[in-house]
Amino acid sequence: MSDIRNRKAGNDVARLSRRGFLKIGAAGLAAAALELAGYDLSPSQVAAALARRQEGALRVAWGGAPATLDPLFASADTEIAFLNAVYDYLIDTNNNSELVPRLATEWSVSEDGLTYTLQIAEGVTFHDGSALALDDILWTFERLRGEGPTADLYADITSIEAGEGNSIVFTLAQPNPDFLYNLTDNHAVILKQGAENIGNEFNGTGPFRLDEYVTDRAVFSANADYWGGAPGFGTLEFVYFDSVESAVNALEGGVVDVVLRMDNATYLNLSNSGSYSASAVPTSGHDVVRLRADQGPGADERVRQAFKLATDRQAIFDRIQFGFGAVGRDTPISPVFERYYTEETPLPARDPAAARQLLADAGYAEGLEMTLYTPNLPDRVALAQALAAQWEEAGIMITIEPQEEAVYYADNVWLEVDLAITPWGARPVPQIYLDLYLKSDAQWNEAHFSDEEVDQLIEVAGSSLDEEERVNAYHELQRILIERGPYIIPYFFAQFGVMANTVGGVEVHPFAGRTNFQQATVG
Amino acid sequence: MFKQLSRAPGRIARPVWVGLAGAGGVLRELMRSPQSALGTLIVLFFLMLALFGPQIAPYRANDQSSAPRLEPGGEHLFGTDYLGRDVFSRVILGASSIFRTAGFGTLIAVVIGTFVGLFIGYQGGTVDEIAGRVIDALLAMPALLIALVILGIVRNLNFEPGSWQARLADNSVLLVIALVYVPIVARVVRSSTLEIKTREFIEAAQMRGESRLYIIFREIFPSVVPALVVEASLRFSYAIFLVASLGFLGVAARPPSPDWGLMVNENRGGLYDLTPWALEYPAAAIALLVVGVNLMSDGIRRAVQKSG
Repeated sequence: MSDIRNRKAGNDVARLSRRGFLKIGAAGLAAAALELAGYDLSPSQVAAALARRQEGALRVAWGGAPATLDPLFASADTEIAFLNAVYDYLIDTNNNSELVPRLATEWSVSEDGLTYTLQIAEGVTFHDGSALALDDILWTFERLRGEGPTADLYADITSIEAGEGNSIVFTLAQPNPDFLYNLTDNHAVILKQGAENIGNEFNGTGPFRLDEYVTDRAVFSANADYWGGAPGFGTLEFVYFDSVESAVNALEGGVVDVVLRMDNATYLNLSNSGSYSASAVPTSGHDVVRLRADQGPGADERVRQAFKLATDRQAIFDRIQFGFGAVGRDTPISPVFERYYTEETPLPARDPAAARQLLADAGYAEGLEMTLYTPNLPDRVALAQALAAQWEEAGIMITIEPQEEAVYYADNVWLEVDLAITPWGARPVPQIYLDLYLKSDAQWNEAHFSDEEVDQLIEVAGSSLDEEERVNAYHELQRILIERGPYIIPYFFAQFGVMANTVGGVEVHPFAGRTNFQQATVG
Repeated sequence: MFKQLSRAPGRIARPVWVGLAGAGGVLRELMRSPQSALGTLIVLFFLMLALFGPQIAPYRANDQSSAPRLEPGGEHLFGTDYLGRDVFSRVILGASSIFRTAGFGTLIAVVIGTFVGLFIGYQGGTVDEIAGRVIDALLAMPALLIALVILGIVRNLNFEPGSWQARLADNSVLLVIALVYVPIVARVVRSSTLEIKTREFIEAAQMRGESRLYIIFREIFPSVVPALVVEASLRFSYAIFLVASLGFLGVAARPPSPDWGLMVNENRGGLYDLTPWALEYPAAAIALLVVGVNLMSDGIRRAVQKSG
């Protein structure tokens, strides 16, 4: 139907001069106007979007399109947002990174911390009408535990079984206080047992059913039978643009209602304009500036200290984050992790002269020349330039080497060079960062930092069932990283969402792709 | 007087002097028309910035001691960018990089292109045929595309910092400019050579038994100079545009260099709404210099035609 309408609108515009504009549909005129105004939309995108406005639709713009929709391999925001619409997770996280029920309505842990029992909601059906069975969950986790990116994450699970009533029981080989967070992992959406053609056909239990998926948009209709209550509006539409700029243009043109994920400057403009409801959510995502601790200048602790002393984190935060997010303290444990975060250990104030002296003591009296590698992303190149200017005052001369992301990561540049900037996305618990890049034997220990005390503390924080012990371990870790870690973490990012004033009930999630839309209201 | 001699038909000219005598005439001619005078002044103005930039600029290029995002006016004539860098100083300091890359790139292209053009034009036959096809093939590819491919590859090779490969890679833009313009210059020189080598004074030289090199450089080359000057000035204006485009695309200059194209690229998107001046001034500098060089090369062409 909408296709026919599009074609008609197009024809009418083409015949404008001959037939007069009275006969032209409003959609056609508006589409032409929007197109002329340069909103980077295909005519069918404009017409479809305008048509849907009348139908109680929520239109969400993304600055990119999904590449893979197989839950095992999906990772980008657009991909996860798609999966989060058609499927359900067992457990969700909210915008404060707290656990909230989804398919699992409640859960309990045994005293030894090895057995987790999750109560599964009753009356859940897949979009094809079949009921959700515990076997579907077992099958999904078999798939997640097999070969693939999630195999490591779930390696400690010794068994998953159906429990009493409608419950499911996970048994672990060793205690893991963050296990429930592992269940919230982006890949862990529940599929139907024996599902085929995964990533192309989407038979989920989620709040939205897929109606249409083409390269530039995905259209979902509300799942009237959703076990958690049907969404309050008819259609959810994801519109995929080439860039955030185009997505923002579409928002300003009234063609979409919501834009998630954007750069700091764009958000500042939109929130200043006063025409939208804008929210900035603090996250744990951060940029790591790290020296290699096992070779080169960074092997000397005095050099690490000199870099720290030469850095003005507040100035960087003000210039590059525009005050959104939080100032960093050289550790991945961000203020959003509330009780785990501490400011007990003071960060020494910036002192380029002292830094110069430390460098001289370390044998670099004539100054130190280094190359700073960074993925070629605007914010990181900006960070590199800010650092280079600050470090220069301490006699550290930097050559900036921006590299295409594909080269930076695929050729393992980031794991090898002496000085680099690496962005890390938001995670719901601090332990993930420690396991991924801080532990001596971590897969992505890009600084090649190896410190027995740190390893022990990470072990305690990741396995102790005594919450106080964990808190102490995290606090102690922060002290060590400030004192001798090879890292500078100047800031934590904020996640941004900007919406038309007619939209309500959408809470921007620190990981934009996990933002839930089923509670949304469309004015 | 020499000029008259060279114009006299059937005489054996000493064309070396024609070029030198012509230069003064060209300059005079250039200042006679208001457009080309303006163009020349613009180019000279930027050339002065390129030479004396560090003495003129109130701040260093990467000085971030000022407050970020200050509007133009007061201490910061062109405002400051998001990092607190003085845009006025960066625009001034950016002139040298564009003149160096575009200027030297053009110079290399002109030197090599002249040699190639003279040689294949004079030689003719199979050599000319083969070289001509190669030049055609190179000319079929857009300069920007070739430049992007080469620079894209070079930039992602990780050379040992300080090694000769790394130094070569740092100057890759200059070499790429030379590479894409050599065939163009060679073709122009070749066609002039083809025409000149049929003249009587060449025949005379051949009959005197002069060596091939002597004929090419002492007899033909001076006659090619007028066409070469026009072509070189035209190439220079295109090179400026190419360097700015490559800077904008992020493959020419390395941050925090105050390269104009890089500045435009860095301050677009969301930043453009916050600090439009940080984009507009370098963009205006590019536009002004390109217009200036074009007006000047137009004038040079007219002047050369008149005095030639």
